[in-house]
Amino acid sequence: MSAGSANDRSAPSRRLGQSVRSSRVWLLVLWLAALAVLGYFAQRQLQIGTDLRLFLPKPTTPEERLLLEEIGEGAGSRVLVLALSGSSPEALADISRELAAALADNPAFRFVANGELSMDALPEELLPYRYLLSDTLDEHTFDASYLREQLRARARDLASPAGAFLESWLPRDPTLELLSVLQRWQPAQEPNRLYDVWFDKDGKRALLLAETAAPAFDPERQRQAIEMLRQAHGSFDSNHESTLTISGAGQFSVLMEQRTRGEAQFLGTAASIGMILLVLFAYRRPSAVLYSALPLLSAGLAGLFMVSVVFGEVHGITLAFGFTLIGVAQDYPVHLLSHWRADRPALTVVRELWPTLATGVASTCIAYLTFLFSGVTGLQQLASFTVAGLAAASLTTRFLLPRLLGEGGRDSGQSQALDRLWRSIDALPRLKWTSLILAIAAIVAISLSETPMWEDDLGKLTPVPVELIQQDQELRGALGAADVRYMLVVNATDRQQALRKLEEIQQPLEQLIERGAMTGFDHAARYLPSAATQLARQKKLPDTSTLREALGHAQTGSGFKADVFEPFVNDVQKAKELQPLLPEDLGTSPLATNLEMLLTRSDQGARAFVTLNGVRDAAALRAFSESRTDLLLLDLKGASEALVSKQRTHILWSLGLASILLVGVIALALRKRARVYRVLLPMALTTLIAMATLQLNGISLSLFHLIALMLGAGLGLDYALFFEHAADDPLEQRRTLHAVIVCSLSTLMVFALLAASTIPVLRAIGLTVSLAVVSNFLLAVMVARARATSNPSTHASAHAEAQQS
Amino acid sequence: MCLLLPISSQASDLDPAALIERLKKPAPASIAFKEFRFSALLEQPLVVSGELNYLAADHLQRFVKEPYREKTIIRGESVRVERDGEKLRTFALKRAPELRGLLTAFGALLTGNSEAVRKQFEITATGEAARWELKLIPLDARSKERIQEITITGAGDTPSCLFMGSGVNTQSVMLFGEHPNLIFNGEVSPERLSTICNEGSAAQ
Repeated sequence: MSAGSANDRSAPSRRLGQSVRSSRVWLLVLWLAALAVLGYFAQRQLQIGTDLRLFLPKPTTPEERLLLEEIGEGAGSRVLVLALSGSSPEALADISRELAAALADNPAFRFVANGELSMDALPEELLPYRYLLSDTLDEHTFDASYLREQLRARARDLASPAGAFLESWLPRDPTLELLSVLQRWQPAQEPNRLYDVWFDKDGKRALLLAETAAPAFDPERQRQAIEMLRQAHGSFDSNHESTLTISGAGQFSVLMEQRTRGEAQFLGTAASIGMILLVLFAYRRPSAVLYSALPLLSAGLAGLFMVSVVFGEVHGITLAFGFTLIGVAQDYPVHLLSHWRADRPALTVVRELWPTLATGVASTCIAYLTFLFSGVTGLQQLASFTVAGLAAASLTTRFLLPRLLGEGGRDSGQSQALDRLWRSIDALPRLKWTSLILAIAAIVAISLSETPMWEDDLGKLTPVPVELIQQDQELRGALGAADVRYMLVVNATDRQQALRKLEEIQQPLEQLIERGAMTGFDHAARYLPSAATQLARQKKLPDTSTLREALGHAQTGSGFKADVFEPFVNDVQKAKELQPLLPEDLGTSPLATNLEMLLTRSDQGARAFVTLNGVRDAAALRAFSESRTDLLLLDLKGASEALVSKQRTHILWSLGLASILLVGVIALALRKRARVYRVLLPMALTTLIAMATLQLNGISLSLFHLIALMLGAGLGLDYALFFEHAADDPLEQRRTLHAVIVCSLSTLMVFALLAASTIPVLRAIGLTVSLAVVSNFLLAVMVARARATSNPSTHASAHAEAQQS
Repeated sequence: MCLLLPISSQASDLDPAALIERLKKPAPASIAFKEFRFSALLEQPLVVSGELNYLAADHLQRFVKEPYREKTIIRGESVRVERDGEKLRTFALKRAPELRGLLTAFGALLTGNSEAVRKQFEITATGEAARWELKLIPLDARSKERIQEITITGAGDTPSCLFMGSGVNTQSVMLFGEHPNLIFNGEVSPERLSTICNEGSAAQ
């Protein structure tokens, strides 16, 4: 099709036009159908995971392995802290009790605890075990003198207000062994208690713990559990006198999903509207909106398809980052549209653009491919997604889109405004020494900045706002929750050995408390003694006739009737014949849950955790742990920092390799050193400037910033390549300027919107990319554009050409 | 006359509300007591004496001074019992309806608020102003099963005894005021205590 055919209205040519148009419609239909099929398969295949571990490198030390297990499925991550506030303590205590009772049988929760001692904690069939679980027999025997002392105390209990509810239990348990067991099972560091339930220090908030059946990173089931919680609370407190605060990893994942979705929707809509307006303004035809969107859509769906085929599951972060990185694909159709004009069929245009476009795409793709070797699953997914996406976008722009475009319209090269703009850009001084000075200034700023270069805190990787994390820590602190940094780990061949070892270190641990190294600790053997200990206690239980005799002596003068303690004699007899209680016998009782958190099976056999409270002297703990070969002091903060820094090393190596490959590809494509220099300088300089700006603003670099910088570099490369390609032809220069302005404006708009987000991660990415876009554009214009085009003849002729048409 | 149980002391009916109003004392109020605790587990009732301090509607302290020292604090929904040389014991009031009954009854007597009592008990009053008997029967089935009834006897504006349960199911009898010369020969029964209560009232 030539420019002339538009004016030719003869019948055959109209038919030809119609058949061309109908083939274009068919192409569009087929294209959309293919996208729908891709989308359908990807959506059917794809599981969206939110497990943060996918973005961390494979652990190598035992500490790192433990850390990752804790982050993922550790029972600790499933425990929600509930706080009731806003009413009188009495009313809050009542609501706390009702809430605990209502959720006790709910399958969504493994346990709900509010501090109340419940006689039901030990099911009937386990009741006789109380003599093996309680430590009474370690120090006493059930002889006449001990029993006499106990019976005297029970008589006093009976005469006290507690007598009313103890009365029916006394015949079975005159030494109150059950109470001693239940007390043993209370948290090692008892939280404040008001009206029999847990409260914070000020007595303003009633506190509860609820462990969900669903893991923390299952937002859907977490959401259901939290809804049930709120519903139960609402039904007891219909007047809304109290406020229920829920905190914990599960709640965070629900909250972040909602918030991210809400904000992404808003930002997405705003960006889409802005984009449509920009495209309409730039190309003055509605169809341009469709043309510019199709390659991007193809990129997204191809990326999804690729990840779902290769990995089956895709991490939520991969999706977010992936869609961020393929944003560059939006630029491909823009270049085509800006160069497309009435006297130049789209296919011809794209053939001319292709070498430049392909160089950009190929070098970016090769750079991303290095992520496949990063050893981090999330980054591998990201690479597959991005490479597939960019390839799809560039290939559709090259082969499908031109065939969809009809006749070209106005030539952006003829724009007077762009001509003026170009000439004023031309008048700008060329950066030669300035770029060197800029680079040195940026490096100096980075090296002198007091802000740590890298963010080592694993916590900062989560998108959860700091206030919520602080609130969570404060609530857990009020509940006397264990130290979040230090933990002792006991390795053993099986769980019984682990329990025995815990019993062995009980005394040294108590000494550490006395010496002020910490204020408390908790471990599995507190809940369930080893079989050996249980057997030892069992051995100390008297046989029936001995017990009857001792009881007879003890009862004389006690005021209790003879024979009332027969049920006690029966239970002791049963206890004497029991097999020791093992972890696997506990079923789903609250006890089993406690135990599961502290005693787990591992590859080596079994592993027990000793959680610590109020650690003041980590060195003493370390010395203690080093005195035994089976003991390890786990420094979760240290391990997580090591892990993050390892992750960064992986990424930096990948990036280093990527840069080398990128330079190689560009050098191969452009051949001349001066051209390579002009193309790469803006991108390199922008990266330095962006890093320096972040550092000067007190921001340490995290994974998110690195991803953003990569996108920035990819954009910069494209801008520079196109400007460089525009060479000496003024019309081409103006078309390129048009294209790059549309590209950079659209990108800037999207990421400036992200920079306004309330979610820290989105803000980090938005800010960094916006900065990079501006810097890349300016530098590309000033550095990469061809040598001074002050050749008057070329200039004049171009001008004349513009005037003519 | 002396053998009459509190339950059977039939006389003209009194207005319970008026009686309760008359018994009103400003909080904090404090009263000495001697309690006889009956139980199927025991051969003989346990006897303790001490002082009850009523500080507010939901705040009652019970101090045992003889034969050992013990302190019970009932505050809101929670009860704590401390005894010399023993572990502190706490529990929720809902586990001991007996105690809640006691608390409500006391609160009502001392604040003169009969409406509060009616929320939990059916009230009847018998006798005359000089010697009366106030009976509280729990409305809630579970509480009723545990305590059946609370009977308070007294004369004028002074209560003399509090019976928890009745007859063979008597759980406890509390005599108010000082009883220094109370000596039993033979078995202590709720009936004999009832007699003492009536005599005490008559003496006043």
